[in-house]
Amino acid sequence: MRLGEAIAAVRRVRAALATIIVVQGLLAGAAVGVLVASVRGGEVVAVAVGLLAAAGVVWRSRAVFSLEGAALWVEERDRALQYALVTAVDPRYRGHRAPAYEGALLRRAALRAIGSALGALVLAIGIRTLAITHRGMRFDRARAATAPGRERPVSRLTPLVAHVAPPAYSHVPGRDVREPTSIASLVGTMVTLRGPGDTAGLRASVGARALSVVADGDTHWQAAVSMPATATVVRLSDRGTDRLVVLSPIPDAPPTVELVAPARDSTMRAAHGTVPLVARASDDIGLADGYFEVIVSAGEEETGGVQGHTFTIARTSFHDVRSASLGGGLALDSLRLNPGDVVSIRAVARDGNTVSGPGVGTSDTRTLRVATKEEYDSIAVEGAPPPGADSSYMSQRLIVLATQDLLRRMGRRPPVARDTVVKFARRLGEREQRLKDKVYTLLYGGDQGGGEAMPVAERVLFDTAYHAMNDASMSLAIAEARGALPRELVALAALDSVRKMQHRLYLRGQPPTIVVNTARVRMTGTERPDAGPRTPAVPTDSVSRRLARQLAVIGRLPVVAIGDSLALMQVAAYGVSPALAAALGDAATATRGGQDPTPAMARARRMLAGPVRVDTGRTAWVSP
Amino acid sequence: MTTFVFATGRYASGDWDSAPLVPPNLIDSVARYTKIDVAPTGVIVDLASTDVFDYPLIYVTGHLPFRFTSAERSRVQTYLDRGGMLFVDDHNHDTGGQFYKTATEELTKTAGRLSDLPNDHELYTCFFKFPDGPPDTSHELNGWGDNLVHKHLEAVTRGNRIEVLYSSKDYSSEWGYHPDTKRFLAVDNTKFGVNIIVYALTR
Repeated sequence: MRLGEAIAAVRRVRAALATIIVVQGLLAGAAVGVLVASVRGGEVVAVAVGLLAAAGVVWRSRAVFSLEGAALWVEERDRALQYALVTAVDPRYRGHRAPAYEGALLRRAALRAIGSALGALVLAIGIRTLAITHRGMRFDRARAATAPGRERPVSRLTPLVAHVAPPAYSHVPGRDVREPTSIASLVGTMVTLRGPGDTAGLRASVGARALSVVADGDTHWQAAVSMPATATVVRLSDRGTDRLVVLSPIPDAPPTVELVAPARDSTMRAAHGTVPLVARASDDIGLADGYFEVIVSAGEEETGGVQGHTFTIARTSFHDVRSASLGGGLALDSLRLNPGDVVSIRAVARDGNTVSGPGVGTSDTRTLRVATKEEYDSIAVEGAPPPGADSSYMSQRLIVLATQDLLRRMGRRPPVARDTVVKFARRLGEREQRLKDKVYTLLYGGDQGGGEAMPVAERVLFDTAYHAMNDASMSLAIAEARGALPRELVALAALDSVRKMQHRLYLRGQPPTIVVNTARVRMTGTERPDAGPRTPAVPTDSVSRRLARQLAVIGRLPVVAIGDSLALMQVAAYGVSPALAAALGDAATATRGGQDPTPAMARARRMLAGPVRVDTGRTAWVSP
Repeated sequence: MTTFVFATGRYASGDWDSAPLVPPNLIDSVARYTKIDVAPTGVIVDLASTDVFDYPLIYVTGHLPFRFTSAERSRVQTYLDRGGMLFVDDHNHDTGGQFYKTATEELTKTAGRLSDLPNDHELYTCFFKFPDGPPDTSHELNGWGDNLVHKHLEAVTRGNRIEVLYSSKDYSSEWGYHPDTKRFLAVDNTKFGVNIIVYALTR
């Protein structure tokens, strides 16, 4: 072999060896990656480890990538060459005759290297297949263990049974509900949900509150919840499967009470004798007790206000009957009523609700009034303008308030400017002067003489007020507000005393029916408002609108997918309308039972839409 | 837009109908000063009935002990939840009297605690301006009842909305006259009533 041919052959060997090593590395890397994936770890980890292994294999054989390395690789496998090939490719010995070698070496090397790597890969794939098969068998065993008819069902949420135990005061026996979707019962009812299997990994919750799930023997679990006052949903979760059960509370209605006697309001000339009291009461569960409540109100708003005291009579126990009568008598003499006093009577009944109650029902209130002497012979009385003392008192009180306000402003830091004080005080003085003139007219008449006829005591008081007003107006004229105030108060007290000496008569009767001619008076007001446009208020009740939107959305979904949504909507709808909640509950039940929910959903949709509105074309109102 | 109907609340106890002239008087004022489409007569609405939901504002007054029945309390709670507004006026203007004691107790039980409404609340500026807060009434100045000139109204608010407006100022007496009498007044004293209605419709 000539030298040139020997070098070319070594180059071919090097290329072939490089290919073999790369293929070996890839196969070895793949084998390692498959093994890693079989034991533990994800795909990313397996690929990374495989690449590292491939790189390691290539790195370990890196010597053959040089020409000398490839020549040495041949020399090692063919001792007969006596290093002739290495010498031939060494530049220092060029010119020597190159020995021949056999290409069969390459085939053997390739077979050995690639074959071993391929074997490793096949082994790894075998291990991987075994691992997958083993896991599948474990999974199948687990599934088989929870299948119906076996010891552990597929889901521990079915079959589900709810034991419903109403509160003891209701005397309603407990009952079982199988495969419940919605449970309706009294507030405070104990609902116990029971299903097959153990408790491991089983969760139950009401809103954000977790319920305790406990073992019921060796074969079942159970979770208990008390019926809340507002509708809610119990969520049961088992290995990613949820089941919802709606709790629909039935409120215990308070008793209904009707006051039979006295049948109507009355006015008495004299408060003597005994007033018979009769009432009827009924309740949806049972009545506990009842009584009559009496309030005696005395006094008038002009003379210290209406005061009163409350007491109860004829308290009776009903022992949980559903309807009963209540009787008694009100001895008027014992009340020591005076003319003008008012007695308010109502009947009260309580039910036996020990959970959220007791519920209290009350009747209409009847009033008995003791007539005043002034009412005896009055038939028709024309309305009269307010008496002079009244209007004078009001005006004087305004002046007193204004003077007190001025003094407060003078006492502040920095004080109000003197010019302002003078101007304000003089204005008040002028008002006091005018009021004093009015009182003078009351006393002595105007230019034409006259004056009102009045008792001497009233005249003396008016006279006192007149002189006090005169003093006050003079003080105010020179801006002496501090000096004016005591005299203003003297005038006010005198006018108040006059008013208390005068008698008033108040009559109540059928009020006139007044129909305002809005078209005639429209925008004729003389006062000028000062406000910008405002937008109409919107109702805060958005639950209906939200439910309508949700109903529109789920109406487009497959029936099998909307059961839970309808149950949750049912809970929300209790705050809007029990009838709407019932319609949504019917739809949810139909969905779960494989029936058509469309009629119930249509019923709910109609309730949410409300009555049909007709646009009258009226212009929207706006503020001027 | 629907017509505004002035509603007077009827409750089982007391004298709910003690101020029958207030509704026509305020209806007249609403027509005089605004373009609000207002019904020419008011209605009486039972506070226990579902009819309350038809009216954005319900006026309640009386002198005698004020108590809701269970049905009334429940209905009023729902009414307020849905955005209705209750205007309760003590016809006694008397903070120590029977109406005040029972009404504040009942309203606290029904809607929450009453507290003083600041005099810069938008109620006082939403139509006519009342820079000093609620206008005084002649009955207050007369010294009747508790002999006080009340500086504030009281209210139960939700957020910034007034749910219950409570007055001890006896506007029921102040506004209790035939609307035709208004032309004789130098200053129309029902202006604040217009503010209450405008506020209730636009809050």
